[in-house]
Amino acid sequence: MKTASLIFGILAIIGMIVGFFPCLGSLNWINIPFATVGLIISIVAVTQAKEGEPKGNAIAGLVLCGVAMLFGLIRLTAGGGVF
Amino acid sequence: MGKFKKVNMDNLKKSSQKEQKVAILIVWTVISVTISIVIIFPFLADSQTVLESAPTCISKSQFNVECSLCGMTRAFIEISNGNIGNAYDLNRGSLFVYSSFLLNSIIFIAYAIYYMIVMKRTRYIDDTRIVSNSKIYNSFFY
Repeated sequence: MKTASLIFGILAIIGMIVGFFPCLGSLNWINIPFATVGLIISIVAVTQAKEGEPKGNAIAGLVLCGVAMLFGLIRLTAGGGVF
Repeated sequence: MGKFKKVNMDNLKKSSQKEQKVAILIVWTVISVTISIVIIFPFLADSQTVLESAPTCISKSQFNVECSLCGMTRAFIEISNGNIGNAYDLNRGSLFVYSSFLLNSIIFIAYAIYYMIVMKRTRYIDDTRIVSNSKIYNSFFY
């Protein structure tokens, strides 16, 4: 679960970076739901981690997905995709 | 007790690092497969189908201004047809992007073949631990 959250996080960040290229902003329509799924998986991974078990990877996934969602939304708004 | 705690912490750290390596490997696999599809698609489909499946640039369609990525799809089609000069005229960055994609795909395929060969040589000691003769394999996963 922790590995999955990290995979989702890295892919979401890459998707966000590609979405920042000119004319590729519409990619965020796919990337934001993808990052949301990653965020849910990360939250589950953090909450399910046992006492003493490292949560670093799950937290990294959580942060990466959150950042991808936030900046993706900003890019989508700036590009005229939302309003 | 202190020594046991240290060994346990080391094991947890190693396990965490292994997870990160596996995650990076899976991400690389996803990206490489996507890139390989982008490279192979113009060879399999006719140019009209490729142009129709690629997204139209908003900058060009709405404002009639070409962006830095405009002409990339047509350039990729030209490269797959062997017309390098035409591809360069359509988009100057296309050759660099195409060669980067190609290089990544070649490295990925070579790694995948190597990984499969190593996996064949791998012997299972018990259910939890895999031991390989390859130093590179061990350095990557352990």
